[in-house]
Amino acid sequence: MTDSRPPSALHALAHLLWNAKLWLKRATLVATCAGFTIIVIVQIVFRYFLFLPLHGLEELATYLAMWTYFIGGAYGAFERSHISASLTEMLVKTERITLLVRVLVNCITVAVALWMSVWAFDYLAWSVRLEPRSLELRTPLYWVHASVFVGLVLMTFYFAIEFLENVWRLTGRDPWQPLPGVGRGAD
Amino acid sequence: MEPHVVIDILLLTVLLILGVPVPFCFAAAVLFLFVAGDYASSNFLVAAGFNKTSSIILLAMPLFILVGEIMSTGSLASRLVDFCDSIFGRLKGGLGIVVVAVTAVFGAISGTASSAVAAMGTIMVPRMVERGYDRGYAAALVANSSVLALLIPPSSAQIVYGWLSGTSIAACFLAPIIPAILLMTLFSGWNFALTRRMPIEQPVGVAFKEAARDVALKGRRATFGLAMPVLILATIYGGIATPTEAAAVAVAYAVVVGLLIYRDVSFRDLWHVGHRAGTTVGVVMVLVFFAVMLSRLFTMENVPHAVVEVLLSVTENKYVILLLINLFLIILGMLMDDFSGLLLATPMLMPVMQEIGVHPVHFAAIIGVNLGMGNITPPTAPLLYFGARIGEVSLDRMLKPSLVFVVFGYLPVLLLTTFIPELSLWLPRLVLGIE
Repeated sequence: MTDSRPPSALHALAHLLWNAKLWLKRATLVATCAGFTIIVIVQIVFRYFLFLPLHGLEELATYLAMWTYFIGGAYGAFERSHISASLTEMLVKTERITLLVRVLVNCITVAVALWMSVWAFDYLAWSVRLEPRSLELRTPLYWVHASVFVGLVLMTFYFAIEFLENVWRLTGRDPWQPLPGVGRGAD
Repeated sequence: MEPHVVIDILLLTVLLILGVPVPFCFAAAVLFLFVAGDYASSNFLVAAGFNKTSSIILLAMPLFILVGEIMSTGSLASRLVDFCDSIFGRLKGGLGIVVVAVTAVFGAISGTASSAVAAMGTIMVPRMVERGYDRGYAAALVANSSVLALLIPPSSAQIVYGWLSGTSIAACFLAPIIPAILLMTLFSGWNFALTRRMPIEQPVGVAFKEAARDVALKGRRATFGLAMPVLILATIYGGIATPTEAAAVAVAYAVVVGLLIYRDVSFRDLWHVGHRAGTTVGVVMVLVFFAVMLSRLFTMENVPHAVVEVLLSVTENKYVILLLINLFLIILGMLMDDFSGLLLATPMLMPVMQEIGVHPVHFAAIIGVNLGMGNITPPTAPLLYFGARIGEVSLDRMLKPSLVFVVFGYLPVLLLTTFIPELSLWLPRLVLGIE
């Protein structure tokens, strides 16, 4: 049965934050993609037309791309578009067992993603402490290393939501039905 | 091979079969090996993943994916279809050849098979069904032909292979071209055989002059699209620019064509293109990141050397080893997508190839054809499933024609590519003068 109560302020705020977070990720993807494309084109213009080699542009382009990679990976976790083989789902025909396998898979994924986030945090902490710098621009690298940590934390978050959703489904309920006004956000 | 390495490979296989996302299967294998191998700090592994992934060579891949997304957004695909239809559409069963030819050209523009399925499936399946083709056959032909996008340059898979194996990407782009042409020829031939009994409409005959005028008109409409692969390949092979720079130029070109010339791409579309391409790239690159970490640990555990020893202990005959490797790659392709297979197999098999004297550029073609075929061989056949979704048809209706294309198309080409190195080395030698 659908809950017809109006959404509470807390739910509305959660909805707003959820959508803002998605928008921010999309904006990051668009900005970084545009950024590294423009940088490579500028480099071409300077190198081949103006005969002025600009040092450090390649570095900057790859660092922006690192943000694309990890925020893109996080968005993939939100969209559930990460590549998987899912052979058991083809072999198992019972819905409940399929759901159980899915919960197990989600559980393993969350645990591994969480562990990797801890590794990425350790690496970021090392980078902030010792401030390794890039070869050409001599810029500190922690802002790039942060992309790995941020991306993995977001992936863990979305995998955890998927895990909770499937656990909820195991109990025979639709995970999104009881929360009025709160959806997963527009894609 | 140490027992903990064997357990690690088993763990990786079990997690893959269970359906854990592939990047996190690799990550779990890294974790297990890290703990079992008693390594002190994880920082060197994260650093390895970071340093290898933040490569200017790899940047070509997101740029080519951007090109594909921009070109798929506008009317380019339908313009190419109209052009090829004007040439081949007058033959009975000719629409099947149009699918094969356009997918190859579209692949040369976009470099990704899934965008070829999306673009071609949406346009061609309804058109083929309307003219009397079986829907399952039409979807199967689109899905099978889309693999050509992975073989015809610029191919994202070849960029990753070149980067992983330290081989010239320009040479890797050229290696699978002749196998791809052979595949196109076989697909076109089988198309006539398989559609013989279908109630296909016989196209109305027109005078040669009128047909030529139609081809010229449709060709003019598709000129900017057709010029794109020429632009990319001319800048790379003319020695003017690196693949990454050529890809950036192609993005600029695609934006200008879409926004200003064809005027069928808006700024709002570019926003969607950016985040769609970013997500596609992200999903692949997270996989690359963890694969690099696993590959580093495998190297430290001497796994590639152990693989060489195992294979050479079975036989020292080069051709038998190549057959065994092909069998291994076929099974790998059936279990995982081409990128995952590539990332796992390349570092493990490269030492074997060096040992038996197979040129890395030749291996680029072998692995490309093999893992490309894996995309349409169940149980893990992402392009076949995607084709079924786009073509709005059940998978079982696609299986029979797909089996024909695999057994009488891919397998002969795979064997020819494996045992006749000239097929993949002739073009790179001619154009780039490689040894």
